[in-house]
Amino acid sequence: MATTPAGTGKRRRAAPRIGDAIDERLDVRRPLARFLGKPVPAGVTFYYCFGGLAFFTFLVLAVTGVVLAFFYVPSPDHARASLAWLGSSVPLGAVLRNLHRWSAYAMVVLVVAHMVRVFVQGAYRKPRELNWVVGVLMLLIVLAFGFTGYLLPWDQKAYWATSVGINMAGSVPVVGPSLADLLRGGPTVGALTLLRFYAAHVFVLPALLAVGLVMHFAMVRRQGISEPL
Amino acid sequence: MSSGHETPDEGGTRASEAPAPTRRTAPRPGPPPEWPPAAGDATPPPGPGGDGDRGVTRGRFLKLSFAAAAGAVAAALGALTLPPLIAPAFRRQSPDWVALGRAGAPTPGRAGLPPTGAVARATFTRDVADAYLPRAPQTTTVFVADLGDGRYEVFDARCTHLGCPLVWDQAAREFHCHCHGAVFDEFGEVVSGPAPRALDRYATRMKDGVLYVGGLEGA
Repeated sequence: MATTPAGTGKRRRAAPRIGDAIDERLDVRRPLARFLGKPVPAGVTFYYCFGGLAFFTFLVLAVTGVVLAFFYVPSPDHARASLAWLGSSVPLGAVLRNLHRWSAYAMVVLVVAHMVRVFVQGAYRKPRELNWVVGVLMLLIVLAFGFTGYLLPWDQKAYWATSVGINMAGSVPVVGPSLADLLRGGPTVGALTLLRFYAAHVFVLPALLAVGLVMHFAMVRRQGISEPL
Repeated sequence: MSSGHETPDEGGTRASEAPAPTRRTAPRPGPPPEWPPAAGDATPPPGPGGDGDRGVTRGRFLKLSFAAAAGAVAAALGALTLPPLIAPAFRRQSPDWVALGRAGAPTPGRAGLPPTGAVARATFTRDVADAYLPRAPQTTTVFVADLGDGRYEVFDARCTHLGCPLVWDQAAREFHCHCHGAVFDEFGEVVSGPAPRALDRYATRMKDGVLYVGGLEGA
């Protein structure tokens, strides 16, 4: 419900009719009105906001992340120096970085809250099982975002948290050691680990999450919000 | 695609016709005839909570509120992300003064300046900050012209057209740019070619017989 596709008569007469010209050719107003004007069931409460709020944090993270990418260098030599410079010499650089960090925390909390709401209300039941599956996959993607992003500052906490996390993966029977090497990109946490975590964080995971979000939202629109219990 | 047995009403309640949870797909209501309203139709559909007299329904109020909130968030994000990105356009560095040479004969460790009336290529090195990198020495090439009476002109060695390095032609007493054929005379003025302005000069300062250069002027 971002905008009202068809304004009042007074406003439309004053406008230069660019919207009319576009609508005449592409017929956007009717589909948009249907998309934005979809009614929701009665009794929907604020508990239904968690998913949307999680998506909102995703938008904040995407915007701040793109700007951070203008300043961050995924190299052991420069990662810390580039972030220190961002914090000290770039206007609002520290705000930008901390907004990214806190939005990431908030996203995990909101995603879990959303999941709890869906679970408690039984909204995952038929016919919405597939959306539950997509949602769980996206939960894993969000946690992978957190894990990969945690290494990027390349400080002691980042290094050892990543070492511990990868060693957990290494304790998986049979394939564990190979899996750990795959995550690290080598025998120890180093330059390649940082680079592949960065690439995963800014290229792979956003693409996967975007696909998941499209599926998630499409299914919600197709099936409607489940009735409150 | 639409079963059409549910009619969305602006801000209305439909608790009585809740779809059964076991239905495979919830009904997708098609656009009702009154939505979107036809052009020029300012009368909103009547509904509970709507204010039909003044054209503001509850749904429309919520839409506008949401639009305002979204706009505020977008403005906040823009206000936050633009300053870091556009800051370089406003950043000015005032470089340190550095000794270029001693007037007269060269002394050990310090090049001499060109004799009167001559133009010579020279270099100086100073520490330059580059973002997060440690300050590192950076060597700059200039042309020094002795104008006589202890006055010197220090030209930037790059063409004012597109920044190619210049060559001093001693015989013709001209600077030549080999990229696009710009020519400057020994005073840095444009003789011919595409250069839009005379050569850029460095700020200079003479102290105890030593010529110091500062920041680039003009440009």
